[in-house]
Amino acid sequence: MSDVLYLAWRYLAYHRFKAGLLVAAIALVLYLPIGLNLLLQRGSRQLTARAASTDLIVGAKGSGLELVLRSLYFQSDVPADLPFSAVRRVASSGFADAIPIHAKYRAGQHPIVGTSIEYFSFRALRPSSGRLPAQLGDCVLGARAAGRTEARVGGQVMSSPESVFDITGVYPLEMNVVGILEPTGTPDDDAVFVDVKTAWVIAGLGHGHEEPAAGEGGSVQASPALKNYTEINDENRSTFHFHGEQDKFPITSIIAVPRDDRSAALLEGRFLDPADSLQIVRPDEVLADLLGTVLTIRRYVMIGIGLLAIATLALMVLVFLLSMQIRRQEIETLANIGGSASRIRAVLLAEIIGVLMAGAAVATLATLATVWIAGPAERLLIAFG
Amino acid sequence: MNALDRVYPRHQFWIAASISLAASFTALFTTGCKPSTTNPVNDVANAPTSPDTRPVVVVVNYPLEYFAQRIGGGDLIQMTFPAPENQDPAYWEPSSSQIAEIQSADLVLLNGADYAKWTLRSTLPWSRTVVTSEDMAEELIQIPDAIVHSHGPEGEHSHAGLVSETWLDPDLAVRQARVVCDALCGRLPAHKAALEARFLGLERDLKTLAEELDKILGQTEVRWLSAKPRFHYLLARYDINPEVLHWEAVESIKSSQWESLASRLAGESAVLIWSEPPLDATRKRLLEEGVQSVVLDIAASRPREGDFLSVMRGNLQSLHAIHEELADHPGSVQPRK
Repeated sequence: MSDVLYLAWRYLAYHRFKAGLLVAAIALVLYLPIGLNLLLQRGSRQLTARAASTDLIVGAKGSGLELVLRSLYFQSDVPADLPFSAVRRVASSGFADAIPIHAKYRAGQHPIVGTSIEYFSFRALRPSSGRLPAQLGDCVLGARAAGRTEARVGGQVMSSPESVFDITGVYPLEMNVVGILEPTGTPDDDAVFVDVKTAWVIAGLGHGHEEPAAGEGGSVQASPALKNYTEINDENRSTFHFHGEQDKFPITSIIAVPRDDRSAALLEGRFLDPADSLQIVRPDEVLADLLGTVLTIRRYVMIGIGLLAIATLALMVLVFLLSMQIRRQEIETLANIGGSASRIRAVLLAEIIGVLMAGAAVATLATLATVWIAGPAERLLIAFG
Repeated sequence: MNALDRVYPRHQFWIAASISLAASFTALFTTGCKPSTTNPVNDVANAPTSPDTRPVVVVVNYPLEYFAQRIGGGDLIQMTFPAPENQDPAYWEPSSSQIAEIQSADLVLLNGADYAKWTLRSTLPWSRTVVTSEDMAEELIQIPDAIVHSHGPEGEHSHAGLVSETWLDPDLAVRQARVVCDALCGRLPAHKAALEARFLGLERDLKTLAEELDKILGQTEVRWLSAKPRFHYLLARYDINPEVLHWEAVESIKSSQWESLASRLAGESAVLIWSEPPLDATRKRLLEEGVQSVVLDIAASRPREGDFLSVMRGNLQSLHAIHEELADHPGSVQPRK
């Protein structure tokens, strides 16, 4: 048997380009449905787990999907703002705790999430180093955000300007890193968490008093020492204040944590008025619609892949048959040097099996790689949403 | 061994075959792999438990401490008033570690009306924080020049702001105490009856205080001035809106300030309320200008002796003394209903 395998191996090694093409084709045919299923499975599982762990979200009337994606995954378009008074409206109902979410700004590629201290216990987020935010200007980084920014406790992270062309916009805010969270495998790992009031400072609703250098005659001297960003430190924090009524300040959404199912239903009833400018949604129901659409498309894609697989297999059979025609002389030589018909058939079969197994091996490696990088699967689904 | 074996050693072939076989078998199993996901535990926001079963209650000023102690008592709650005794709680700035301790409290009682501005710049647990003047939005008093400071090239200037000392009006103090009682009942539903009974006792005391205040301020018709914007709620009961001078008790008054006062008074007499004793020279000059000084304790910090009620009664005595001195001013101002 070893001579059969040996000859098959030597043939494939000699015709490596042809063998490589066949292996690649088989690997693709095997990997595509497996990889796609895997991505969708993991992505939908993570999506639904995060949605299932969040009972209710309150936001401005509009796209429920946009509201849910922004509130849970800090991605997708930013929905319309709602006033902070809505937090009191939810909390004072007595049916649920209200956790404000302000997710409009970014620090580079990382979303800045303004929220309350309750968010951390709600999501079971614990600092692996440092502490949770306590004061204006404090920020806590998710594990992945900390790794990418290389920020450490005691360091700083800068918010990104909303538009590089907005020369009249608010200065970026330099935030003080006071903690780094333990990894959770959720979108929280990518976020920069601040108190919602710090987010309002980024929005320009609050400011401190900076002292630019005074020139002669009472004029202000714009020297290089004049910073083009805002910073909050122990020296100037006490000067920070907000103008206007806090109840009117904007937030993105509210995570409502109901006391029980009955409270959840009663709270939903408070938002049934069509004239209400706010809406309340159940994230798992909203995402079920999204995933339903994705699964429908998957069905069609799988049919397409199936047809492709049939075509590929047919082509492979054709290639093998043509190959045998071309190798007629080689086969005759094998017979002339003493190879029996069964042995020669075994060699040819071993070549085919070898190609199939090599293709399967490559598909396996690709699948393992997919498992490793499946984190972005969520983002693919969100981007699709 | 045949010719081919000599040229191509078999072990290379077997290694390659083994790898291929192993890879193929794993292909059958990888699609069944369950990806490990770590999802956070879905914890609802709950207060961390303290070793002592009594809820920890944090307050921002002494009046709230007094109300909470009267209602909750040392048997039902653990009281924490973190501002140091030698600092005005309104301007105390806690450190981040102190804020972290406050975050772990079971209940945080705020005064509201912009009192203790550190609360506006700190991360407090919303679900466990109660603003005791939240239902007084209509009664809160904003004055255009509440905050006077100096920064930048423009020099001294003022900003509008809320007057914070709501507890000086006994009726508003009762309402704040009611909010404290409701908050404690929410935390200690099993002790609701006891908490309500204690609140009623406090309410009686505060209403008695209000009646005594009405007898004095309700009978006094005089022009009221205030060194700082702190006493508006006390006087608003009688529809009195004191004029704020923004004078510092421990500093000499500038001549421009005296001129401003003289032009404001235009020969009329007045009473100027201070929150701490002014300099003797200031007091003497004020008398020459026809202005009586009275010092009232706003009771924001824990008193060295007595309690909130005794401090308020001390204020009543000071006001009574002024009333006696102004006995030649007939007529009265009706108390606000």
